[in-house]
Amino acid sequence: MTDKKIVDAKKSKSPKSKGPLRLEAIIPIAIFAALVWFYVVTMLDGHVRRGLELAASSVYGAQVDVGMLNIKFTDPSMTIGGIEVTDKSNPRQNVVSIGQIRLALLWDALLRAKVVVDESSIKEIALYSPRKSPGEIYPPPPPGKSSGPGLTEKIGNELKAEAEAQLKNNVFGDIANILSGADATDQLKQIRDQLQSEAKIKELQTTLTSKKDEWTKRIDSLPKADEVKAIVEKVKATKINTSNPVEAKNQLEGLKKDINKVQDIVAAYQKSQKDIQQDVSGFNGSLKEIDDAARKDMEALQNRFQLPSIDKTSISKALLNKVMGDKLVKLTGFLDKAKAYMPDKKEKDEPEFVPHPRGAGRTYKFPVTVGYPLFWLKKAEISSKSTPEGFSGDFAGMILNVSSDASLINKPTEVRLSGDAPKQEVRKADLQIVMDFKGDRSSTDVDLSVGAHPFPEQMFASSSDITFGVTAAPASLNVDAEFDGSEIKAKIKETIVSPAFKTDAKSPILKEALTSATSRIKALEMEVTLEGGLTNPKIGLDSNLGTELASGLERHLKQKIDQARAKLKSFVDDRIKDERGKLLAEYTKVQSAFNSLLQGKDTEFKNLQAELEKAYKEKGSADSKKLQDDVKNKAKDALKKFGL
Amino acid sequence: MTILLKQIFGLIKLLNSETGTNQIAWGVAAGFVLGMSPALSLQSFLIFLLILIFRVQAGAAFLAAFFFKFVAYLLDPAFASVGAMVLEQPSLRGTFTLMYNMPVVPLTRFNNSIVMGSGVLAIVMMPIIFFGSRVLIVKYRETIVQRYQETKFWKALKATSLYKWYASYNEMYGS
Repeated sequence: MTDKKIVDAKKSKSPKSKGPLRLEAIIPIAIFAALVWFYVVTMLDGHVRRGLELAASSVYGAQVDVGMLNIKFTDPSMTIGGIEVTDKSNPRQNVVSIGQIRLALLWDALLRAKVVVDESSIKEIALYSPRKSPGEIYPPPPPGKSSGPGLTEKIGNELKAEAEAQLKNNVFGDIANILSGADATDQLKQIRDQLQSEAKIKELQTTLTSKKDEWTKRIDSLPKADEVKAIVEKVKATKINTSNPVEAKNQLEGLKKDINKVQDIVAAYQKSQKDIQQDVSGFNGSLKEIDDAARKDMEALQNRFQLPSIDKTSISKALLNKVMGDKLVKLTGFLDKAKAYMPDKKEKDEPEFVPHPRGAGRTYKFPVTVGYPLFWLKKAEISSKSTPEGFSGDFAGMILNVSSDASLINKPTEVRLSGDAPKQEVRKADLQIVMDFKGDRSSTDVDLSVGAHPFPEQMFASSSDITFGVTAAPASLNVDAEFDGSEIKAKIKETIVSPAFKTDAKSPILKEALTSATSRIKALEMEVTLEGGLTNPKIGLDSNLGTELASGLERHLKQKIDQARAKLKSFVDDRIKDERGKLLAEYTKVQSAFNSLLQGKDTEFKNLQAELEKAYKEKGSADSKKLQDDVKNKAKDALKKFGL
Repeated sequence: MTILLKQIFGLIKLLNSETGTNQIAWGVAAGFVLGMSPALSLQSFLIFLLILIFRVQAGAAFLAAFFFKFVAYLLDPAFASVGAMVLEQPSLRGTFTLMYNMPVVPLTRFNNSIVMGSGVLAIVMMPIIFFGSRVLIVKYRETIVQRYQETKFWKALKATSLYKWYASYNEMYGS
């Protein structure tokens, strides 16, 4: 073909008109789209599932299995089932397994490049369930630079150090010393030679001997009966000269004087007798001083048994530091992890329409009227059914409003979970967590209550000298914690109803005291409080164990002291009983002897006095009549002589 | 790469032919917008899709995009100023707030000053680029191509059997 022909052919051929659309590109695009659709329908789920497994296993460090995964685009949702996370410490079991997770997403949010989970559910959660085949464990990554110990480690270290210090101080050793102070034997040894009552008896014995001599001397110095007898005889022998009235009168007056003299002697005797009797009786009063001295002896002894004060808080701390330290480490373990998600202080909201510089240009923020945070899990229902294997239970709850921007949704994140785990003997568990990151400062409230859970055997002290602890029993748990920014305020309370204690000690006194004290404890309460900065909180430990133990020990001490008092009283009584009896007998004998002697003399004097008075009366009356008769006769004779 | 090279060869051929002026001009204009847009953004994807779907000269578009990317890099401060000026316009605030709260639209990153500045300038400059390209293509054909085709070298080349073979092949299978 020549060039001319070619040109002609070109001219004769009408140019092929092509439209604005590039059909040769649209068809491949359509085929590509169809292939994508085919991939999505047939293979995407499997690849995403495998990708999830690989990513999760890589991050966790052990095999993570995902049984099934289903993604729907028409009604955007994702269902993941059969999630099994291998337990790193025991590859034959899962640390956690989840039957199904369903996430229903919002297209409206997806079109804004945001993930909003409108509704989701997490079902059949089980812990420590057995695996069909052992899971793989991957070697851990090399340790990174540590920024210092976390809260858990800090609390654990602090409490353990305190526990060690307390154990060094040996609280039980102190208690044993206090208890041994109530032993009466040692006290008796100390006061054996110091009894006032005993000294008083000796003193009174000496006094009685000297008094006896004194009283004898005084009795000897009293007028003798012979003197009175002589006067009586003299009176009886006196013959009144009736012939001479003047002389008779003088004689009678002389007799009267004798009678008066006897009366004086008797009066003097009676006075002396009374004095001596009073003196003897007065000594009886001195004998009562023995009782006073004995009472003073008892008081002095009792002062040696002052009830010592027992520091209840110290006992609680010493006993519980170790136990609660371990528990705290477990309970606060999540804090270190949670800290990463708790902003200390929320960044201040940028003022509206004020740009801030960026690497490339400036990005402006406009008021959000209809918007979503980058991620928002609106509601997730959690449920778990108990299974015969692993740690599972009948739990139900929900997670609300987990978002990447709480201030945008203006709602706090909430976690509510309650239920029982019959196999693990966990009953009435109720967890409520409210995390509020809306304001300038984040705040989190955690309320956990467990009606009953197994409390394993815990030894508060275990050494060659003493074993003291509580045996395994069901306990209730209450956790009330508030995190405000970097501040924490938490109270963890564990209660064991009708606890059984294990008590054994080398010291029998201590063993007896502890057994007695613990037998009265109806419920054991242990409380830990954390307050202050999240990195260095002030830890408080309290328990009624300390209070009850201290009260029990005090009771026991009081009982021991009462016993010791009785023993001391008996000791004092025994010590003075014989000497006191001897002294009393001696005194009674002396008193009796002197009384008898004085009364005999008194009777003799009275008899003599009566005899004297009688003799005097007789003399006086007979001689006077005779004298009158003689005077009458003489008068008559004289009258006759004068012739009258 | 083959497709890209084919498009570039197609551009050279089309540029030296007497047809396809508008295709090349639209290609340059689309490439200008593509070059001005952020690399990974929704608008880039859309323009790319338009280049594929519509019969614009893709080689011209990609070459233009490559070229204008460098220009855009140098002009970023100016784009930032223009974008900031637009974004801070009180009268447009309502519109931007609406766009900010719409689905998909925020994926364009329109609220970034450089993106907004380059976007505004790209839209404003696109007709100018289109018509300017047209004029330049026509001018090129009239002056350079015409003059070149009249050279002895070109005439000798056209006389070879190899060229004839190529011409007939291109007639039958060429796009």
